Amino acid sequence: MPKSDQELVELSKKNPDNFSEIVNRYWTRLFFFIKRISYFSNEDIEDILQESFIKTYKNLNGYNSEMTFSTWIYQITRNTVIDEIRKKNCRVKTVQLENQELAELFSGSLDIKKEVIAKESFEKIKEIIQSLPYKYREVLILRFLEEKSYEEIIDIVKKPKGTVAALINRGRKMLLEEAQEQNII
Amino acid sequence: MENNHSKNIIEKIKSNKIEPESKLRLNLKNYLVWLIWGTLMVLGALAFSIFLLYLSNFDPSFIRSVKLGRFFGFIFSNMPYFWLILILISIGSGFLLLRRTKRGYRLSSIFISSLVILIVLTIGAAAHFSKINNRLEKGFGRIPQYQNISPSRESRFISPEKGVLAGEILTVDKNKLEIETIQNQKWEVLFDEKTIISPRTRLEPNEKVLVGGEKVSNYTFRAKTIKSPQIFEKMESSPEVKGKMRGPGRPMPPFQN
Repeated sequence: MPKSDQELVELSKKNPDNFSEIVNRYWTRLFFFIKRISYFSNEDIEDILQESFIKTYKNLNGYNSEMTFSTWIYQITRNTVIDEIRKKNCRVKTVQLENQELAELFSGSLDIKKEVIAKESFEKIKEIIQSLPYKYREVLILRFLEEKSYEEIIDIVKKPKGTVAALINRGRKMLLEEAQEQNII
Repeated sequence: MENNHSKNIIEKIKSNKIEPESKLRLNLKNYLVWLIWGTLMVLGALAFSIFLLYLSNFDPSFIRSVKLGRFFGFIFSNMPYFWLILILISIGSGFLLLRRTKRGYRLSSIFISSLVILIVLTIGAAAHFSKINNRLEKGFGRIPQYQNISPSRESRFISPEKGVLAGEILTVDKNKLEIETIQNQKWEVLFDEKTIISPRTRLEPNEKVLVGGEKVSNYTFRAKTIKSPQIFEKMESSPEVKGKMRGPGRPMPPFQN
């Protein structure tokens, strides 16, 4: 029977070898999360992830059951990404989303079926999502691609509930307005 | 592939001898934030209690003796800005610090600001009613530099241009008093039968008085009201006396030398 995150945390505190199970469990998920919210190359993402996991290991004693381990490690990873973006002093401009992800994000945000979206619209959708300010894009990705609950998003982005709800609603509205203007829906 | 990554990370942890940091060390920042926050709340509350002390110096009969325009001028020029700024700094920093606590980001701005303001006002009011503010201001009064930051309550009432004067009676004559202010200025205070003198105010040498009226000339002041600051303080602590004292006062009986 696979061990729970909580159990792995306790075991990792005693022996770092147990931490490899946590790395294996979250590596892919977090890799794609970083890819979705940033413009970094795969090599850079691997470096950021390595740094995130080491930070997580150092902070293992700070983890408590107030939030799920998944939310906690997303929070640490997101902070590392933000620090890296600041370090490189660049704004996130290029969206590294696959067509499938674009369709999911777009349809989820606008509450429409994926099948409705024509394949030739993907470029336009990408442009629209790219034009969204980072703070809106980030919460929409967390909500509709990472499928995180509002409570989890609050903990990951460290913003109050009202602010998160407002960011999601405003982001959806901006997407809808732009999609209507470009006759995508 | 993932196994390779985990292997690299574990190797790095082992080779750099990285260990999970202790709970105490990880929470130290949070404890420090809470400590500073608590200190700021107490500071803000004490500043508010001193501000209340200032407000409590005004009473209706005294306000009536000063013209409205002069009254507002008096209020603004004598406002204890130092304490007011300290209250605002405490509330502002308290708000920001609460946000920086471990789970502070979950609280809404309205909740945090209401909480911080409520704490400052409640503790401040408690300090006022338990007279901690009185002792505190007296303590500060002994510091010479404090007079430059926030003038004492007595010196706030020495503003003849704005219709208020306070000091100790030196001599008493039929229709005039000679008083000495805290800045050692000697003033002649004229009064007559129309002058309202608060009950229990004794016009005798060495008594402190608070005079409302207008400046006639240099170091001459015409009194409309005269009251004793000491009685005023006692009045606040006694509800029965308070009711009587808030009245219009009594007309001046013919003074007997």
